[in-house]
Formats: sequence, structure tokens, C-alpha cells
Amino acid sequence: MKITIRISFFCAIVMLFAACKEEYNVKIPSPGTGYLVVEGFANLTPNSQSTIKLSRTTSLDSSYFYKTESGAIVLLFDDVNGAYNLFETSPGVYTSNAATLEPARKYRLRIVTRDQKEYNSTWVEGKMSPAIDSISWKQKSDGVQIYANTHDPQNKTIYYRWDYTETWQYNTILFSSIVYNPTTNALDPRDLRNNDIHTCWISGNSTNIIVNSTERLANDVVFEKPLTFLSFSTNKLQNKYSILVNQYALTKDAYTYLDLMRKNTEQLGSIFDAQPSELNGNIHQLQDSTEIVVGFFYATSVQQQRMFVSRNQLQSYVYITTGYESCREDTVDNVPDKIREAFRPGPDVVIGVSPVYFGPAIIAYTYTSNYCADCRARGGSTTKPAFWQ
Amino acid sequence: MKFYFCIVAAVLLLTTHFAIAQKEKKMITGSFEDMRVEQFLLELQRQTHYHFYYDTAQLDTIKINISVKNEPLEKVLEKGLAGTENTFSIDDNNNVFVMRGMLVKTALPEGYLDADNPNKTRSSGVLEEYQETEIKQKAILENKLYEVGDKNAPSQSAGINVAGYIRDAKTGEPVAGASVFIDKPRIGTSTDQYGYYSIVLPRGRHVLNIQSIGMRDSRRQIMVYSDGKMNIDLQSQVLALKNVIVSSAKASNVKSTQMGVQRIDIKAIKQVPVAFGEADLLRVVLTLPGVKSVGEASTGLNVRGGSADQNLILFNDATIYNPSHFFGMFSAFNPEVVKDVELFKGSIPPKYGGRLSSVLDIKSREGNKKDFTGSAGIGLLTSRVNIEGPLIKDKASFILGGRTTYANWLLQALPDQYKNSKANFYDLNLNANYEMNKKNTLFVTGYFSKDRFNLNNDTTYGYSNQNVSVKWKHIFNNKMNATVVTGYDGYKYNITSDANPVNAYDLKFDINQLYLRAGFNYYLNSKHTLDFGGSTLHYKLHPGNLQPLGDKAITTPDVVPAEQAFESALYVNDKYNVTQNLTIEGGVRYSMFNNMGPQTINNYAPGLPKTEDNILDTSVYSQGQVTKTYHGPEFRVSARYSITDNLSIKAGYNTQRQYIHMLSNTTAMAPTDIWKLSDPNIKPQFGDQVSFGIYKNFKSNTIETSIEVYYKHIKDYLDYKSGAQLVLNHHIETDVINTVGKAYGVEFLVRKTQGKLNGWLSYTYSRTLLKMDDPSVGESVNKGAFYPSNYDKPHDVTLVGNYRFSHRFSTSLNATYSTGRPITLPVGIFYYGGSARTLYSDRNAYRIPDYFRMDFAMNIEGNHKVHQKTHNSWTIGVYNLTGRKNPYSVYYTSENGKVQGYKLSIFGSAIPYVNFNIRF
Repeated sequence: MKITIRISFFCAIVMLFAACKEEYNVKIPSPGTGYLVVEGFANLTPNSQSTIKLSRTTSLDSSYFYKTESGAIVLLFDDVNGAYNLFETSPGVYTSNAATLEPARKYRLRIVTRDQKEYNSTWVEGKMSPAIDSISWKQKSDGVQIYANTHDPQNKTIYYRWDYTETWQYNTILFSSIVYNPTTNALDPRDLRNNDIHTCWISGNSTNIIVNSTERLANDVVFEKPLTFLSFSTNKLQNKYSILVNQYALTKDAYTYLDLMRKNTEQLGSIFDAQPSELNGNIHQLQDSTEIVVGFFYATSVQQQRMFVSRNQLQSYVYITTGYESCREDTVDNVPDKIREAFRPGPDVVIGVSPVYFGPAIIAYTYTSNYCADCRARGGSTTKPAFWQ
Repeated sequence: MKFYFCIVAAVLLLTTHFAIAQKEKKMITGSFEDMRVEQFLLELQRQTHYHFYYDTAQLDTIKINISVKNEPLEKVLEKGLAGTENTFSIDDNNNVFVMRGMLVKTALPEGYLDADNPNKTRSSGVLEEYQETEIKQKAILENKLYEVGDKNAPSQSAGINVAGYIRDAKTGEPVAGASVFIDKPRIGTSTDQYGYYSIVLPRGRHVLNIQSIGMRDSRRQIMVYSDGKMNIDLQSQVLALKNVIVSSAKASNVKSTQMGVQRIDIKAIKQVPVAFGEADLLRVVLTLPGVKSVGEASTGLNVRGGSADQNLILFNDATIYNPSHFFGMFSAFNPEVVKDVELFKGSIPPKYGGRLSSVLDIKSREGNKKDFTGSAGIGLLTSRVNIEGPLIKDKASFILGGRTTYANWLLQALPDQYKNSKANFYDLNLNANYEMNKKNTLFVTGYFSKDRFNLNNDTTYGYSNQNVSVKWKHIFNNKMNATVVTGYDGYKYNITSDANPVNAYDLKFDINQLYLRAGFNYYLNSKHTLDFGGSTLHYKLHPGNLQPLGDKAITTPDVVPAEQAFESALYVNDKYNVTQNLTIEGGVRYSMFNNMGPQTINNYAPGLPKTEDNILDTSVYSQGQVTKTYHGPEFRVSARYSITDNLSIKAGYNTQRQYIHMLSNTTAMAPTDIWKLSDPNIKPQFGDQVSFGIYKNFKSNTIETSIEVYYKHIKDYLDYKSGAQLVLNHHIETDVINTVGKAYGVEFLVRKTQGKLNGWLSYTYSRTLLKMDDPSVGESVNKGAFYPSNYDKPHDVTLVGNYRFSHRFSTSLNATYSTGRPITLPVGIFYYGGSARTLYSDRNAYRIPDYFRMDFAMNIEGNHKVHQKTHNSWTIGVYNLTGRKNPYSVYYTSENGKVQGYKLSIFGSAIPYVNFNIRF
């Protein structure tokens, strides 16, 4: 066992529970590689597709990656009609044709991998998710907390899961109105209709498992289940933020499994947290039922709701870290040689910001780094999403 | 025997040469300084023409310091021998007979002498003078001859029983664990917790030696005629610095039959440096060989491979379920009130039962019987105060101690993420005792502790211990005494969460037990000492009560039905001194457990895993009905064979049963762990242990060494299944698995008990392995193979050292190394739910890095004038001197879609501390 320790974290001076947390990466043998991972569910929403993602576990070292499982046969059965075929639409992603699955039926998944191993899930009951009542938010001292609220008047759902896609709009700190023309070594006015690089939209998916049980409540009511926290130290609330929440209903077993996976992988480290334990899902290999298969197959409908929060809805003044705090402008005289020198190609691409006038004459231009003027440098897209309002 | 011969000789001499008229008086002048008695007599013989007759063995060892000018021999001898045990007589022929004590006088009927010598008796002069001397010697109790029993009593063929209390002369408190012995023949015993001893001696004269920690060694001259009482007051050592001794008595490790027993005195506890300077009894216990914990944030003890719930922690007879404060950072015992701690990890006396691996018996002080005194201490995190004093002088006393924290400042100083954390705790002790008469003593004790903390979320945890007991000690006669104790122990915790008004709840849990125990000691004769007694204990557990909190909460009330049971036991133990070298202690405890209704018990299909699906039906039991009875004997046998005076070997075999189980799926002993009684679906735990040891002392017992080997087997220990739900589980048997465990190890200990440099060094090699191979369980951890327990740390080296530079300044150094504890590390990575995640398989297959820590402390005492209003002392120290970041755990967590490994240390740097103590 080769141990490499990398210390990059802080240690507080007064220790107690803050104690001392350091990053720690140990190369340990990873016998647990190559197990099948099955993620997905039978989609009971009328006229919709079901998607199953197949992948393999990989070893635990710095080079881990998402190893998709291609070339498998994936079949979805209901207990009356027989099979629906799922087709591989991209590597490791298997999607059915749009169909309306009957919620009252039971479903199972069958997978035959390329190495001719057959995996079957147990029969699972379909559950319909009730509509989302609302996606709400509250301003806290250091950010905005987003919540889900829902209820089932029939008190039947009890176990819920959510995931979400979030999108936010942001601006660079410097507005580029000019663009460098390498043929003339001049800075031309920017086409702001088609080539504005000041405002971007960026999206991301949830990375946490969010599940909830109302088992202990008298009514099947979910009130302010925290979904995500928008810290003022990120730029998510610089302008406007939007979240699209999907809500699923789970069976008790699926809930227990996902909650254990959540505890195992997201909630470790404090002194009183439970120790990690083995996960046992409902998908088994036909010949060897002890083979580890990660994942739990379930059948649910999906309910969606989108919500926006814009900065001007926040109460009082809040300082939001934009990530552009260290941006500054430089000036270059309006002389072609000097412009060419300033804008010459290289690792540190710069972008013109604006002309400097002396009376009617442009005597110089300001410029800055690509990061400070081109919002796409942070992964966003200048294309406004269709849903944006 | 030589002794008797001397008496006879002296008697003969006296009776034959009893005329005294002295013809010529030679005057003596001179100074006799720092002289032994013999030197003194020889010097007198040289200066006079008298002949001196004496037996050197009978001469006192006290040094003589007198100077005389022109004084007759008689006066010189009187002066010189005052303060010794020797007396003299001078006959007509200028012979001087120097003898010991009152042997001559007591052996002769007084009338005989008077009749024989009607006009003048030199002898009565001797007697009178002796009596005067006796008065003078009152201060020097050790030289006084005490008579025990009636001298006219007929000679007893068997030994004569002497019993009594050993007390602290200054405070009147009993001295427990003092050894009381005579050298020739070697007979010894030690005092019990009330300071009571009982010893069987041959008729005649003896020097009774008394030794105890923190007390000056003392001895008494006793003349034993028949059974009688002998109370002894000991002077405490004014300087507490001298003795850091972990044994109850010098050489007791070699002489006692018990194995794996360790006693620590509070003075030793206070010297060991600890985090934040809080003298912490459990931390010191952790330095003993064979005792481990999972890490620094846990005071849960793992003794010889046992889990934390397998220790019976007794505080003045009360069972303490949660011995920690501040989420396990401190032990819940106020060091100002504690007297000493005794840990039984090998041979457990049969009077104790109910737990598998050890008994930690913590005794508090009884309070000063003579004066009102008190002490107070100020530390970084806590302040404590205690007051003690007589209620009725010399008869009744009390001690009241309290401790509270102001640790919130520390939490405020932490980084933002912990800013809203709060922690509070306090504990209170009250002990009172009343000696109604010589035969009856009454003790009342109370203990209360409470903790509340909130670690930066909206959930508040609180727990508390409550214990009350009344104890009556009765002495029937010298040979037999009894103790009867009854009391109530309570432990409860609650968790409240009010962040979300709809989900707000209050979860409560509690354990209540009422008990009655009676124990008898019977000192049958010098060969046999019998202990016997019985106990019964009534449990009532409320294993979970969830209630909505606030008007808006719609939490469904959920109450797990109360559990109740009786645990009763009868025991007998005989300590049999077969020969002077061989002692066997054999005992048996028969314990019985009755789980009682009202209760609803699930019946599972036989042979199938206990799951909800396999519930056949349920049985309903009403109040008073027994749902299940478990019973069986527990054997406690040990033997000691002394090869020489300071070398012995011992062997022992112990079996234990445990009927109450703690269920936890956290590494550390969490305040929210669930306790469960055995019932038809949960079998009691059973453990047995064989042990063997070699004990050798060097340098007149100041260096003790021992090697102990043990092998232990545990059956039906409860472990949890993967993903078990332990809180508010109405059928917890479906989430736990019976586990088999084995533990073995060897413990080496070298201890220097005396001198400027003292302390101990221990090394332990031990393994603790568990296995779930119950075929009726669906899934099993590690596929039914043995896996190491959380506290399996094979190598463990501990050094506790103290060096005293002067009476006012001493230093302590503590160093400990151990193998890292086992943890479950991921075996692979997978993607699910938008994030990379870790896959776990075999439990505890890896280890965290090894542990090493060194601590240093300095104790500075104020001046040592005995008579001043307050005495104060400072303790300055550094915990974790090297600042090593000892890992508490290594874990992997998914953050922002990636897997990141972390190493968590409780103490990430050296922690200095200062403590100020004041006694008044």
C-alpha cells in the first residue's frame, strides 16, 4: 500500500471540532472495479421516454473517470404486456421510445451486457409523484436557500426524491465594445447584436442525492425540503438564477437504498456520523447473485417546476463575489505597432475593452484579459436559453 | 520460639534479681547524638562499671539524641530510652537489663511483686515510668504498644482476628486499599472502600505495618490477646508529589491473587497531562495496558477487546451509562471529588456482574470529618468547586462538588461554520456519611450530570445522568460485616430539532434502574475469607419517544414501548490460602434475567433471517408476565503462586454474562446510542477469558514488572447490519446480527512507584476480531469471515513519567504510540446522481496512520506551610507537544461531483493549557 499524503487544507489554531481536516489521498488497492452501475427508472409520466444509464465502477485513484457500458441489451418489462426495448442513444445511455406506462403495473429491468452476463431487477411497484406545490427560497446571511414544497393529499407517496438543473445568467465585469482585427492591427467596434461576449448563461445539474421521507409525519407533507444553497460567494446570483426541479416518488426500499448511498458518500467525516456500509440494491446477476451491482431500479412519474430568483429580489444590499474582483484594464496607444504588440497571439489572450477619446480622437484603447471580458471563458454560453424570462 | 524465650528469660531475670538498692552512683556527663540504642548502651557500659544485658533484636530503632550533665545512670537511661519502646531495670549486682515494652510488666501479676518486695519496688518504678513514657509518647503512636482483646482471655488455638478502620488523621476519611500486614509470619490484608480491614494474627506481639498511597507508611506495635478492634489514623503525606503510584500497595501486584486489576489514585490522575488541563480520569485509565479507545473524541473504553458498552462503570455503586461530557471530550467525573479508580479487566470479583469486559469502580471521597475545607479550580474550559466538612464532628461528614463549563468561547473562536455551536455541561456530586455507632455506618450519595450541545445545526442534543443511592454498612463482629445498598440510576437523552416548523420534533430516550445489593464479608480464619451476597436490579427503558415540537409540527408521535426486566444474582467467593505461597480464589455468580411484560414480541420463522417479512405472529404479554428468562452461572477463578517474596505467577478464568446491549453504528460512543435489553429475540452476550501472568518486583518492591497474557471469547455480541436503523425501531432485532468475537493479547508493564523519577511504561500487543457467521442472517458483514473491530490496534506503547525536581516543582511527560485503528475505505468509484461516489465493501479492511502523541506538564505548588488559609497550585502543560496531527479518521466524501479524501484530526496542533487550583 503506497501512501501519498498531500496537505493543502488549513488547520485552525484553536481546535475542537473544527479540528483539522486535510485532504488525504491514499493509493489503496481497488478490487472494486468493473462492477455494473445502473442508474435510471421506468418513467410513468404519460407519453415519455425512460432512460437507463449503464457504467462500470473504476479504481480509486486520481485518474478515475466515467466508464460507460456500451453495447448492452436493455429491456423494460411490465407484468402484463411484456418488454419495451431501450436503445443506446449515446455511449452508456439507453432510452426507450416515448410510451405511456401504466402506473398500476409492476416493472422490472433486464440487462444483458456485452460479456453475456444477464442482470435482472426485482419487480418494482409504480408510484406516481404528486405535483410540486412550490419551489421557494429564503435569503440567509450568506446566501439563498432553495426549498421544495409538496404534499400528497392521499398520504401515499411518503418517499420523495428530487434532482434539478440550475441555470444562471452572469456578466463579465468589463464590457468589451471593440474587437481586435489582426489584419489591420486596429480595434473595430464589436457587433453587439451577434457577438456580445458580456452576458452568459451557464447550467449545471444537481450532484447530491436529495431524498426525503414523511414517514414520521401525520400528513404526507414536505415543507421546505432544502435543495441547494446559493452562496453569495459564487456568482449564481449576480444577475438572475433559475432552477428546474424534478420530483420523483420512491418506494420505501428505493428510498432506503438511496438514503444509505447518500450517507455513505456525502455525509461522512463528523465524529458521530454512521460508518460506511455495504449497499445492496435490487439488481442481481443471474448466475452469481453475490456480484455487486450498484443501483436501484424504480418506477415513478416525474413532476417539474421552474423557479427564478433575480438579484433585485434580494433584501437590502448584499455583496456578491463575482470572481472578477482581480480584473483590471491596461491601455495601449492607438498605434498599430503597439496594438499588434499588445494583442499578439500567445497564451494570455487579451480582449479590447473600449476606446479612449481625446476630444473626437481615439488616442488609446483599454484592454484586459480574456477571462475578464469574455464570459465564455468561464464555461457559459452567450445563447439565451429558450425558457429564460 | 525466640520471642517467647526472651519473655521467659526476662521474667526469670526480674524475679530472681529484683532488689535494686544502688550502692554507688556514678554520675554521667556527655552528649549522645544520633545514636542507635545499642551504641548508646555500649557507650554507657564503657563509661560505667555496669553490665548491660539486652537482645539486639529487641532494641528500638529510634535514634537517641540527648545530652546529660552529672546525672545518675537511671536518669540517663530514662532520658535516653524515652521515646523508644525499651525499658530497663538495674539489679544489685550492677547488671542493667534492657527489654522491650511492657512484656515484663504485663506478664506478671502485679500483686506478686508487691507481696514479694513490700517496701521498695524498683519494678513498680519501672512500671510507673513506663506509663509516664507512654503518655509522653502519645505523639509517637508508632512506638506505643496497643493491646488488642482481653489479656485474660483463654488462648485461642486458631488465629485471632483484629479488625478496624484505617482513617486519614487529618480529615477522618477512610483510607481504602491500604495494605495492612505483619512481616513475621507474612500475613497481610488490605482495607476495603470504607477503610475497613480484618486480619487474622497469631497471639502475641506484632508490628502491624500500614501502607497506602498518599499516606505516610506507618506501623503499630500491637499485643494480641483475643479478637478485638484496632482503628488506625494515618498521616497524609503533606507533599502530594512524592507518590505517583498506581498500585494499591507496594508489592500488592505480586501478592494479590487478582490479575488484571489496576488502581489509580486521584493524585496520579491529576499529574497526567491532558487536553485543556482538565484532570480526566478516563484518559488516565486509557494509558493502562489493555485499555484502548477509538480516538480522542471518545471516552468509550475498549478493555481487552471489549466494546464500550461492556464496561460496568460504577461511581459509588451507581451505574453510569454515559461517562462523558462535551461530546466525549471529557469524562464526567469531577476530579476534586474522586478518590480513586479501580479497573478490573482480568479477574473480576463475583460481586460485580452484568458486563462482559471490565469493571471500572470509581470511588469518591467521603468528606472531611474534622474541619470545613474546600477547593476550587479554574481551567480554560471548566471551573470547579467543592466543599466538605463535618456534619457531626468525627461522626458524619459531607462533600459537595460541582463543575461547569464556559466552553462556548472556544466554539465562538472556531471558523464560521461552527459559529452557532453551543455546548454546556455541569455535574454535581453530593456524598454524606454518618457513623451511627461503631457497628453501623450510613452513606448517601447523589450524582447528577447534564450536557447540552448544538453543533451548528438546528438540532440540539442533551443527555443527563442521575444517580442516588443509600448504603448501610454493618459490622456484625470482627469476622463478618455486611453492606446493603439501594439506589436509582437514570440516564436519558433527548434530541430536539426546531429548524423546520413542520418537521420539528423532540425525541427522548431513557434508562431507569432500581437496585438492591447486599454483600457479606466473612473472615472465616487465616485460610479462608468468604464473600457472598446477592443483588437484584429492575430495568425500565423507554427506547424512544418521538413527539411533535411546537404548534405547526405535524410529526406523528411515535413511542417504542417501554422495556422492563429484572436482573438478579447470587454469588459466593472464597479466598483460600492453601499454603503461604499458594492462594486460590474461587467464586461463582449465578445470574438470572427476566424480561417482563407488558410487551409485544414478534415471533420469527425459525431458521430464516429475522426480517419483517418473516414475522409469523406476535405474542402479547401483560404486566408482570415473564417474556423470557435467561440464567446461568459465571465462574471467577484465580490462583497465585509465590515463587519467592517478589516473584509470583497467577492464572485466572472468568466468565461473564451481559443482558443489556448498546447499539451503535458510529465509531465513537455517541450520546445518542440506543440501549436494548435482552428479550426473546435478543440473546444475552456471553464472554469468557483465560489469563496468565508473571509478576516480579525489584529494588524492594519499588520497581514492579508484569507480563499478562489473555485470550477471550465473546458470543452473541450485537453488531448492526449494513444500513441499520437503530432509532425508533420497533423491531430492532431485524437490524442487528449476533457476532462472535475473539480477543487475545499480551501486556507488559514496568512501573517505578517511588523516587524522584517514577511512572510506568507499558506495551500491549492485542487483537480483537469479530465474525458474523449466523446462518440465519440474510446478509453478513465480510461474507462471514473474521474482521477487525473498530478498536483493534495491535501495538500500543505508553509511557507515563514524572520527575520531581523539588517538593514544589515537578514535571510529567506522557507519550503514547499505537497502531492506527481499522477503517472501512472505499474499494472503487462509481457515478450516480450526478456525482462520483465511493463504493464500500469489506468492513474495517484498512487502517488509518499510526498514532503518536506526547504531552508535558509542570506542577508548581505554592509554599508548603501547613497552617495557612489557602494552598494553591498551578499546572501548566502542553497537550500534543509535537503538534502531530493524529488522524481520528480518514474518509471520502462526494463534493461538487467529485470524490475527495480527507484526514480528520481532533487535535491539529500543540495545545497549551494552564490550571489554577486553590484549597481552603
